[in-house]
Amino acid sequence: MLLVGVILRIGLAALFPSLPQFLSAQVELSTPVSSFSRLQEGVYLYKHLSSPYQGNVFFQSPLLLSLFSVLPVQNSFYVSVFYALVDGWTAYNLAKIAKARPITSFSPNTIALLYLMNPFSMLGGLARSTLIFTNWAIVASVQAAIAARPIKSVVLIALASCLSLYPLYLVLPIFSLCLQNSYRYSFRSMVLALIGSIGAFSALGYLPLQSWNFLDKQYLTSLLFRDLSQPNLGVWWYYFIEMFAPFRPFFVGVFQLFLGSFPVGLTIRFPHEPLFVISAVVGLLAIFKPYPEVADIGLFLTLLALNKRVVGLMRYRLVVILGLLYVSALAPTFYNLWVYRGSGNANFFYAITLVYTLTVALALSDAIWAAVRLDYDGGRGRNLMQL
Amino acid sequence: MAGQFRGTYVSENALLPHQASTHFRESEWHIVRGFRSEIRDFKDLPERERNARLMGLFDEIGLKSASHDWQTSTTEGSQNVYSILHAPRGSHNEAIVLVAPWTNMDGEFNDGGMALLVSLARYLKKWSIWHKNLIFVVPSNPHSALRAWVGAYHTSLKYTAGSVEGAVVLDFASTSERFDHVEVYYDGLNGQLPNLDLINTLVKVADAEYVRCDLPGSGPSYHLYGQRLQTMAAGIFRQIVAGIKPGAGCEMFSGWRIDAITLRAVGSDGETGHDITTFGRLVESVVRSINNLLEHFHQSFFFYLLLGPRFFVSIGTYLPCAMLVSNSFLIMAIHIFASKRRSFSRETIGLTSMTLGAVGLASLMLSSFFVNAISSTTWRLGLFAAATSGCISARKLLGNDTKQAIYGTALTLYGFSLTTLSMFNFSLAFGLGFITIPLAWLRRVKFARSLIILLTCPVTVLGIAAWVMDIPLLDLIDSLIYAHKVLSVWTWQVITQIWLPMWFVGVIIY
Repeated sequence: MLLVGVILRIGLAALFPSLPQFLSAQVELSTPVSSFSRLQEGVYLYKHLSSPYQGNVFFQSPLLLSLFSVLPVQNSFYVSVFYALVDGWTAYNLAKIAKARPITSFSPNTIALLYLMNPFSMLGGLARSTLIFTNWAIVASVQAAIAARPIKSVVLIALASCLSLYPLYLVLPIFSLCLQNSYRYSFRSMVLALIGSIGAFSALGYLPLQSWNFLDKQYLTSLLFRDLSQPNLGVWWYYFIEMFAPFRPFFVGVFQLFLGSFPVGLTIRFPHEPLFVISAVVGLLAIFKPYPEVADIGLFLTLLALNKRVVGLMRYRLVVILGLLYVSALAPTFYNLWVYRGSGNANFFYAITLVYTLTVALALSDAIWAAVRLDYDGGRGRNLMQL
Repeated sequence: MAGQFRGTYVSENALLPHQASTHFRESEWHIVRGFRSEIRDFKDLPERERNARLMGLFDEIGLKSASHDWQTSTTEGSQNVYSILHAPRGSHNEAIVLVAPWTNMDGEFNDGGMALLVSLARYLKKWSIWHKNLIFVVPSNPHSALRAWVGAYHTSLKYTAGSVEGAVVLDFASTSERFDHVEVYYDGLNGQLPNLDLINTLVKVADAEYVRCDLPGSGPSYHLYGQRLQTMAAGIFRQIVAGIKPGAGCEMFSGWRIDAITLRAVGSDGETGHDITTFGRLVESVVRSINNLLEHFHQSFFFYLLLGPRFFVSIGTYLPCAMLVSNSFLIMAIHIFASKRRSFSRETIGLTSMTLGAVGLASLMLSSFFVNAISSTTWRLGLFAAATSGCISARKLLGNDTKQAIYGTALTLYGFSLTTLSMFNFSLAFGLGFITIPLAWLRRVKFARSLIILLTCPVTVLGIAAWVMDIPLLDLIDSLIYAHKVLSVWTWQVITQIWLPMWFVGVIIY
């Protein structure tokens, strides 16, 4: 199954050599903080001129910079193979998680298939969004936690956070998952491990350029939504492009506070289901983080499938699937009408991002409802109306 | 229906239609006449010679002119002439295009249009008010030749004059000095329409010159419901066949973000009516309005159905009806899935969707292969017949559950393809949805299933369309493919990649 998914990715990239480039130009598939072409630009600047963090093009991690300055970025085929392998590894980890939880999740094969064949993660991988690496780290961290290796798990979630900041919100449920699966380390030692590994990764980031510039460029761009050059699927873009500058700090604060208020609450509400909390937080990030993209949705849907009983109790599965189908057809359509044909306008694309937000929010709230229901009566009630 | 449409109005584009007085009057009459007889002199010469003479005329006026040789993939080709008037006050990065093809949409020699174009070039050059460049284009026909020129202008032409903000095609085919009224054509390929403000400008200008301005395919009495309906239906039909049936010329500007209209003089026999300089004044005034533009055409409407020169239906009003049609397929699919849920195993649904996806991908790749490899349309029809019989034999092989799963998945995909299509090309999506709506009812009705299958078959419908348009079926298919290849019109793809698969599914499950 793994092999098929990986080969399919490589095959698609090899059969249509222009596909990755085309896809990576789509605003739904790559954002300023994850775009591969910006990464290439950054690598070029790093190799030939000076620090890529001096300009306003490159907002990604110095770790990726070092990684891709070693890899042959120029050869498109090798890059595709690399991305496909990373995706395959992620799917492998997911299958291992599923294997460790035989009753509560679908079979390992189904989970791997769900990740590899689901169009959202496939498009993310083909578009070479660097979010793929973050997703890999998140899944590897969850896998390590379930395999009772807390320190490895904490190091990996620290890596994910260093790559794209927002996985920091997953730290609490990951701790909870670690504690659930092993008693070897206390909460305090895990916090220490987290701080230590974040420090170590930051120091690693300092090394290639001998400057702390990247902290400002990478993290503050993600945090304060400083790059408005490209629209994206989330709710932030349209709102902030319309806003007068003096109001920006306030609303950045409000938006971040809104996003940040959920993970703690969810962890407290579902103390025995940390894996579900992780999927819920991933889904939350797919809606409310400043630069969401379709690779987020791919991960969210797969992680959700790790909670089989929750999925079984969800009421609006068909609505969500159809909604996502419509969004994937209409988002590029409206973007094309707005940007290329000039017959639509920004409101067209904004409308479809709202549909996207609503669809994912429906899936999320439905999943949380199902989890609450499980808590309440184990899902044995008879009056369950499903669509 | 009253209340369902609105009156047109000039929106926030800074057009100021007919605010400046026009001076292309009787004093220019003899000049038009002179150019007319000169062009008549050399119109029957071989192409290169007549183009050289024409360029000579532009040179005498004092405009830089050039020729453009073109050839399409289907080995048709000829030479266009164009000439540029550089704006006396402007930054030379915007342009307005005036076109007079040698022959008009019906293949008649564009006698008055050519003469008007040259005399307008001479006349407009005297003004110092232009801040957009003017380009005068004489293609050999208003179809492929004009398309080739527009394409070359944006890619390979030696002399260019900035991005084109608006284009007007002149069609005055009669040899008379007079005309009765004008018709405005506004179609575009793949459902792209010019900004409604461009049409509003023309209508306003025509009003001020006391010229009646009509939409093609209808009469002057727009206060009658039947008349408005007829006008709208004609508009929808022209929108569907744009690029497939030879059009008025303005649609050849589609795809480059250019708003274009064609102005056609009608009924020019006899002594009564307006004289030819009035037609020139219309063009002069419209060009001056476009010249006023401060930014590219925006606001107003790009999605509309015209019921008359002064009435339109906006997207907010007509889109729900397209959505109802396309989403009826989806609702039937939900019905199938919801009522049959218990009997579907996950594997059936998963397998079906994957198979359909693979078949879709394969057909996507194969269809371009077939278009290129199979040159004869008879063979294509033969292939279609073979595939159909294949589907009929497949009916016996598949179980009822599988059939239902295939049907549901296909209806879902079909529904949302139509929804997407209706955002681009309302007319095509609506027409297709309207024709194929019985396919959604295949499992529900008890009678006439074969009739439904027959009536929704692409070949049958194309046959009927060919009969209505009075051309052989094979020619219609050829022109579909030609439009797909040369003009990148999607209709062929829509038929082969959306409609045909859905119909095949219908054949399998009925």
